Amino acid sequence: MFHYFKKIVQHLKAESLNQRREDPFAERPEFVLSSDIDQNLTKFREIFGASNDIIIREIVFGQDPQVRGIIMFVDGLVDKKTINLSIIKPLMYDLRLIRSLGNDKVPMEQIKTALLSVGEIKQTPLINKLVDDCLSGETFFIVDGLAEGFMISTRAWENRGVQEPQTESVVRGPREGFCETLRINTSLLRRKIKNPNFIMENVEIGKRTKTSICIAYLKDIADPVLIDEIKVRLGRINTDSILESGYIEQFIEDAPYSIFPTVANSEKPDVIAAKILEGRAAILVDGTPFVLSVPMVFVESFQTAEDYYIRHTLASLTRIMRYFSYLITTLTPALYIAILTFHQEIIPISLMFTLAASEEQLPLPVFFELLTMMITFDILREAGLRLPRLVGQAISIVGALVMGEAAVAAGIVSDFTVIVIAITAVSSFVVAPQEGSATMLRYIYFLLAGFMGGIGITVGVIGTLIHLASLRSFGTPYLSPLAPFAPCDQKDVFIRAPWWSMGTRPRYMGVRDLRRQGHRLRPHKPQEEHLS
Amino acid sequence: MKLEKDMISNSQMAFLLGIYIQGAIFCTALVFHITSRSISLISLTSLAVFLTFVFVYIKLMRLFPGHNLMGLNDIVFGAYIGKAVSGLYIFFLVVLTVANLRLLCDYVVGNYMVETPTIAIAIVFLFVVVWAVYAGLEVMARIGMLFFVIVSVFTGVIFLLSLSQIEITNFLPQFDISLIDFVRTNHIITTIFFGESFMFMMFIPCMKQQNRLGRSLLFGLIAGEISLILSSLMITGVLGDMASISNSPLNRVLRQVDLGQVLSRMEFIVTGILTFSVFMRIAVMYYAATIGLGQLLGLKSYKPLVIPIAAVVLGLVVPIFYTPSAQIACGISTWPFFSSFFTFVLPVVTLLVALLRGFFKKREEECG
Amino acid sequence: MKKAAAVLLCAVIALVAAGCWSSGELNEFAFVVGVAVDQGSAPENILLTVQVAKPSGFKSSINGGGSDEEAYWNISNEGETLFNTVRGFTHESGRKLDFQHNTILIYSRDIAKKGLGDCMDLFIRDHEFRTSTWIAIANERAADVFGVDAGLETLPAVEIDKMMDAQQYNSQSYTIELLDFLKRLKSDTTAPIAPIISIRGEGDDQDIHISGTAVFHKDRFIGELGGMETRGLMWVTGNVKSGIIVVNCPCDQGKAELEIFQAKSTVTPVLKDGDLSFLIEIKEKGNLGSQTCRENLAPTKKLEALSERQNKAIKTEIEAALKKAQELNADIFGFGEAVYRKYPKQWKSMKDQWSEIFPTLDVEIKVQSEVYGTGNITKPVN
Repeated sequence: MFHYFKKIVQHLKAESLNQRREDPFAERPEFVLSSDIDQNLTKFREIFGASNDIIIREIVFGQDPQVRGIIMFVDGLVDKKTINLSIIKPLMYDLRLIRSLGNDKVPMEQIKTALLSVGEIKQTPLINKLVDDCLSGETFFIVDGLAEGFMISTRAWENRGVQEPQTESVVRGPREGFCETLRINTSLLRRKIKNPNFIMENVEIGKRTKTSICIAYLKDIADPVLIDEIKVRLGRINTDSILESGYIEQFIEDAPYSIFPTVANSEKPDVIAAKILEGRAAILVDGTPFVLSVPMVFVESFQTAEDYYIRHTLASLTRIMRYFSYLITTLTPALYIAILTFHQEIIPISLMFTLAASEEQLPLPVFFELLTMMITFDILREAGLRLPRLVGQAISIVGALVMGEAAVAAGIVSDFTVIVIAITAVSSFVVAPQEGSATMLRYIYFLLAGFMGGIGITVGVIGTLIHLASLRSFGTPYLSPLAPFAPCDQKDVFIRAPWWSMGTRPRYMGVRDLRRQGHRLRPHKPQEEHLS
Repeated sequence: MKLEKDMISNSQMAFLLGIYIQGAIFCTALVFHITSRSISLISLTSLAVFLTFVFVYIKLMRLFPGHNLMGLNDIVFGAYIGKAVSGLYIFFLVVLTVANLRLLCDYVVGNYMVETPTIAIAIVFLFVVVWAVYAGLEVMARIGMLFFVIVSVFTGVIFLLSLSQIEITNFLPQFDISLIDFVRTNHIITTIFFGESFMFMMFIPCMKQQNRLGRSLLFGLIAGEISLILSSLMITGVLGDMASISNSPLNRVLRQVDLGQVLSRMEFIVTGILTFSVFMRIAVMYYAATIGLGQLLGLKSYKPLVIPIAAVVLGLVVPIFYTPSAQIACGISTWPFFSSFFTFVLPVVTLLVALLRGFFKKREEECG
Repeated sequence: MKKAAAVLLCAVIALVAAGCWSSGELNEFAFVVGVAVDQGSAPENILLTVQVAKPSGFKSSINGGGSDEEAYWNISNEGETLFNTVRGFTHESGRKLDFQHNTILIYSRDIAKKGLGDCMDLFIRDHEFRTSTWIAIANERAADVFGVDAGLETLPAVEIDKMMDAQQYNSQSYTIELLDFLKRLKSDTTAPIAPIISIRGEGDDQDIHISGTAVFHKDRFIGELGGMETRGLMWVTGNVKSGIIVVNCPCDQGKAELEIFQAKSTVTPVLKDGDLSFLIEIKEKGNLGSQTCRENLAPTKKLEALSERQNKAIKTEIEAALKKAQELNADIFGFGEAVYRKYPKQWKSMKDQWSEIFPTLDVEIKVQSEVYGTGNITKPVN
């Protein structure tokens, strides 16, 4: 028996050693094309194997002499019309119209410059490069007797198109959202910021997925140190796959164990454009509509796109409400349990006995009663999210209405508990970017309050604030501009000052160009002399 | 050499001092046992007295720029005596941490969690204090500012709510106390409320603009003083002579606050908020003790010392005072003298020795 | 990772260390809303009666629209000392008493005569009790007060609590919180006072009645003030908020009722050549609330005449209170404190002889009142 386990352990050890030896990410040796087309063809067949979406088309073109060529592309990623009309047709028909000039067997230079009517053609002798590009939708073309291949840009595939995003819906404001295609996303941003200083740098991450990633920023505003730091952090990622921006987020964030996100994300081009204009950098990832932006500060979670489009008075009010909602959703169950089990004195007399009456015959201690309800709520929420929309509605009706009502009527939970959970639940949806942290904090505070009452909550809040104050996101303190306090940046924290008064960008990111608009922009009445 | 590498801005330093002074809000029981009517005014005279000592502190810091309290001990007294003096300071800082932690625990245990052992509350509070100390001075300065605002707002709100219960007659006649009582009260407030902030000499070298040192310290002291005055006005105005027999007059006032029978009995929430300031006070003391010891032992980082000191503090927190009333009795009689030795006598002696050994001259020569 | 685990472990230890020592469920406590202290069967005993709210008597969604049973339960326990008696209730009830919501503290007259000091310390010392509860003296047995069915509220004690608040509309009983009572008790000269609660009526038709004021010397009951005398006291202390003063009409054929709107008082001790006297100035503003005569009282002259009568009425009330206080030799007005505030140095010699000085004090009363409005009509209808 013992030996058996020992063997297993040894086996595992050996295996892990083996794995360490074969680094899957070590650079593969570079292959170069040979001038013999048959040799190349066998090589490609070897590389691509039996994949049936790879089309290898052999053609013969030219008149005197006739030349063999291969056109290769991935079905579904290319625009077939372009291939047929702009590559194959010119080669097969139009080439005949050109007289052979010079001694070349094939007039490649002429074919490139005068024949192929497509936007972009690259030339490379490297097989790896050809294969990679082919897999991302380019068509490649090799000719017998030439040790170089041509990459012809033919990318075109089915995409979702620009639609209204499911998250961050607004009443007033642009309704377009990012989609899964990187190029469309960059175009959405470029359409908003028409400025040559708006830089979009490409990086490719993922040994197997070869995901394109784009860092977007304004060169004359964003802190160059920030951009360098992003590049360094992205460069450190050594993984085989990036399927969503969440992967990147977890590789580059500052506080990997924290419950607070230190990288922001958004699905809306206007939000990302605004952040870029504030001096942040955005990270776009191919294959996902969620675009990251860094650095993130805590108060950013309480700002929504619409705050900046509607009147500033209402925007300020709703923003304060959002802060309150965050407090409510994190603290209400904790305060409720602390009051009911430790500090009963705080309940007003008129409420006291109704409350006591409703708690009178409940079988569970109020701690477990509340805990059960909190867990139930989280289950319902998850069920509602994951199910198809129509069934989801049914679930929420059954869960929220029927179960809540029945549980109260059956005397398992008190109606006050249901109210507490309801208000907690409703306010948890208000601050969407911090929903995860709110849920975690809710359970932490709740446990602390259940064990230690008000002191537990105090200790929990102090601990949370210490943690928040010690966080940084790409060098920016997470709690800025509150701590460290920056008086000039307060115009966009608890209130949203009118646009004409926000003359400067936030200072905490160390932007290069602080001023975003002129002075004295407040609208005023036309002066009398103008009228007369 | 100083261990602390974080730099904090002058305003952060001022607010850190402010919240530190505010943290004395739970010590109010001490002074009300002698006299109740004139505390608010006496706290002003105490501040004036303390300002003369602040000049001593500033002078010391100016004489040895870039050196903190432990560093300048080494320079002024030489390596051996300097280490001994630094050792004394560290001893005092640890005792101070313990006493303040005990005060907080007794407040909580006496008023809210009667059946809970003191040590349990101490462990819980020490947990967050240790957390803050690990996070370092920069983080503490950041939350200090937040806490200062929160605590000030709440003190103001409670003051407004208690206005209806404040009776002017409780304040009159002012200064009808014997000279000895006046001096004693003044002494207590000067040492315990203000004087124990001498440990900021550990952090002053971390401040960014050294030339505005005096202004920041003065601002911090006054900012903290405002809250103390508000709370002593509340206590005197609402409780009158009853303040002198209460273990925690502040809590008694909080319990009296009542707005239309709805906003009444909210004391546990208010206490929770006010605890922020005491927490910061303890954290600052603890931190000063830790970096001081680290420097004394010549360590590269103070972090290995945090847990051992926590163990010492936890070990001492229960035995240090026999009962809560013993702490109050000690705070009135012995503690001010014990504390004065470290907060006033030692710095003044340091300055005098520096004078005698001619550090002033040397500096002039360097400058000239 | 190791670090995170260590921190988590510490947090869990801290949590468990402080775990739920002082907690309790709502249905583990019996919430006391009123406390009454009576003389026990033996002379050295006290009889403590508490009114406990019975949650099952209240409306909740579980048992529907409330039940017919009473929502309160009065239990008594006898013992020699207070705290022991309080804890003794667990012999009779399954739940620990919780006094956080106590609204009122009633002592019987017998106990008050013996001195309240013996059975008051607990209510100040223990953290569950609040000094913002009312204090009152019952004319008969204090426990009986809780037995009278409340008119509007579910709990008699809460009814009394509301009544205490309502007393400001008649200003004829001096309602006082425990804290103020204690402040008076702690003072060297000022006499503590408390309102008197009595039961009127017989059988099922009983009502609780609050009027008059009990006067103490130190902690011992020594006498009482009637309604008018109480208002006289309140004029001086500046506690009159509202109330009705009835005077004869200027034509002497009926009564006019004047409602008090604002009242302000200043008490000034005057020390002249070693002789102490007091000047009390009252400024009052009122309104004609109702009249029984047919005369038109709206003209300024008539209103002035009315205020003249009002002055006299107020002065009479104050004089009555003063007379009674001097008879009892109880400084209920806080004159001693006033002297101390103004003449702290001279006070030191006066302090010990205050019981001799007070009964013969010379007090000058100046009342300046004003009848301000006549309500919504000027002339009476007929």
